[in-house]
Amino acid sequence: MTMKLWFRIFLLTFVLTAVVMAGSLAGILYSAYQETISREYERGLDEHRIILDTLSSHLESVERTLGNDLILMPDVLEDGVVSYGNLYTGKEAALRISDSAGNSIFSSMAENDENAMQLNVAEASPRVFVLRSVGDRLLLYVNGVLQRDGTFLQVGYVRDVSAAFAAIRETAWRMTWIVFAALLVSGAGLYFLIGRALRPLMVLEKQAVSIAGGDYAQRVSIARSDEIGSLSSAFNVMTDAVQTRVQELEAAAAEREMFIRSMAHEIKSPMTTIVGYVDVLERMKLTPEQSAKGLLAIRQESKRLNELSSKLLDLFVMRNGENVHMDEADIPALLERVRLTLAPRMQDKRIKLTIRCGLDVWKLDAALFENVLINLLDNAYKATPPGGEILLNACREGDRAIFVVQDWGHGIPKQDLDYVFEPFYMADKARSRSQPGSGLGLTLCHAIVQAHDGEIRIESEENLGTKVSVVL
Amino acid sequence: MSAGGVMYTILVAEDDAAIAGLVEMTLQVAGYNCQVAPDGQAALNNIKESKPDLALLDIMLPGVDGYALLEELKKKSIPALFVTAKTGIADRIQGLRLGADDYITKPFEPLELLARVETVLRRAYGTNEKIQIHHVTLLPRSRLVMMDGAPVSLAPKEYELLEFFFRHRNIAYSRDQLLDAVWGFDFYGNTRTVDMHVQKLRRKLRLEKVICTVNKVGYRLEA
Repeated sequence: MTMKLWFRIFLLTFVLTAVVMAGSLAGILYSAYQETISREYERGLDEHRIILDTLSSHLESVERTLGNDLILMPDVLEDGVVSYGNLYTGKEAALRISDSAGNSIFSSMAENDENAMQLNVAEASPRVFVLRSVGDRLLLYVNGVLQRDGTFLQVGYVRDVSAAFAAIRETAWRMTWIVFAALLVSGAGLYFLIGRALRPLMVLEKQAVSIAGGDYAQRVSIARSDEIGSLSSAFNVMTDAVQTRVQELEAAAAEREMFIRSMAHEIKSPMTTIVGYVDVLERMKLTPEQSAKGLLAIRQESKRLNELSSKLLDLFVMRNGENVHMDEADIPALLERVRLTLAPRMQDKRIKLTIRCGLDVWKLDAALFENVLINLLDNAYKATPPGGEILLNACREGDRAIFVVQDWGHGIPKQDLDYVFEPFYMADKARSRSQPGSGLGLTLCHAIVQAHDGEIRIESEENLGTKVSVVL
Repeated sequence: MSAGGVMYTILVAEDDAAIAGLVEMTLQVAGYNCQVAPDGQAALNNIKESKPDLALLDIMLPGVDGYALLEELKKKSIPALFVTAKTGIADRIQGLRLGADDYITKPFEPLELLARVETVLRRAYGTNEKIQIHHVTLLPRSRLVMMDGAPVSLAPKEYELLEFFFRHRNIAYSRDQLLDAVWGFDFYGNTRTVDMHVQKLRRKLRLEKVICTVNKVGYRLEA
């Protein structure tokens, strides 16, 4: 069975309160009962003692006056006993005086009460007393011995204590009702207060459910300074974190999807050409010139696919952060290698590549960094008209190394600058298709520079040129 | 290919030079006159100046895009085909709704391209078509075959096979492909049927040197 926490707390508190109150009540009533009993006993025994003493001294004074043993004068004895018996018989108490054999000399007890007494004493025995229920009354019986020379009298006493016990029963009932009422009031109070104190938990639960359902915009506002307040603010912090994380994941998934979509698109064009030319070469009657053109196209497009795949591979390797081997690299030698790689192409377009080097050694992955510079210079080369100029400047600024590749070519439109590092982004489709490129060069550079904990910045003005700075 | 002796001129608006080259070669070999425009503006100029008979348009063109070109073509009642890597259903629907006559997605096979081009051309201009190759003339509407100006009687399947060859000149087809194209997929003949019909066509129309056997492939009509 599932039970709400607040209800369970309420129930436990209520049961505990009820048990404690009932226990206290029982204790109080028990001690009141004990007290009543002992008070009634004491009262009965005291009265009995007084009767005994008074009777005893009366009989003694009569004997002294008469100078004779009263046993021998039963009439006198009986007179005395009867007069004292009548004296001490009251509304609640009655007497029965009998001789040593139990023969009644005097009795003011009702017959039923007398029959129920059943309390005999022998000579020299102490007083005895008992509480008996007779009819609907409670009676306290006391029997004692009045010692005479050679013989004794039994002085029985009965007292109706019903009233005292009725009073205590009455008190017990009244107190029970009071406690019961108090329990009801406290139960209702607890029910209300605990429910109210723990209601925020239900609000939290509702929010958790809606978050589980994908609604991350929900926030709880529980302005309390207790544990529930801090729980709800912790909950909001958690929701923020989940929301941020989910948004990141969604963005990453969207980026990956975009990447794959672009990649599929980039692969489609060369594949169309290759498959198409193969088909044409196989099935159509072509002139030798046409065949040669077809084969050349197949070769170029295959090369384009190959470049694309190796750059993709590089990119994935870089993104996984593998294969970066940092070492003290000889920068002038590195720049010379870059120059040699690009020299034939630069000569074809009569472009002047100027390299300035103000660095000696620097800690970096030489092979990867060479790749970055070649990519940047290749972009500059594509942007620069024949006969133009490109500058590569390596210098030191404080504890950082800066590599700048600058050209004065067609530049990048302002609206495209933010996207140049994105995979397959080509600023101008017409230009980039007429000049082969995978659209991954800058993406790769960015990844490599990031793997070096560096920064890559690009400034460009359309038709004025582009300046790319790599800061390590 | 000629309509009343005139070659169709087809405009190819395609920014990827390699694909443009492929399409151009395919169309030329199949007997079309071909003009390539590498961007939207060049295509627009071409449409205004030389009035092509058909345009093959890439949608993602630099400058003026394919949709804009299509509107210009519609004004001049020039049929158009989209050739594009955009494969989304939405793109396809938009292209066709705007009035493109057909839609080909990359990568495509040149033969598929030719088939679509031919269909669009026939739909647009094909009422009084006359196809002539060497000394043989074909009038598809009247199913008439003339050799040196004199009618020649052909069996129905012979005629259909000849028309197929005439419409797909310079392209090699396997016997199975010919069987499917002329006799239909549900014809349970064997490839010998094709060989026999080819023999008859060669003999009746003196096309021994025109309908060539291509080793390991099949037959090709060379013109």
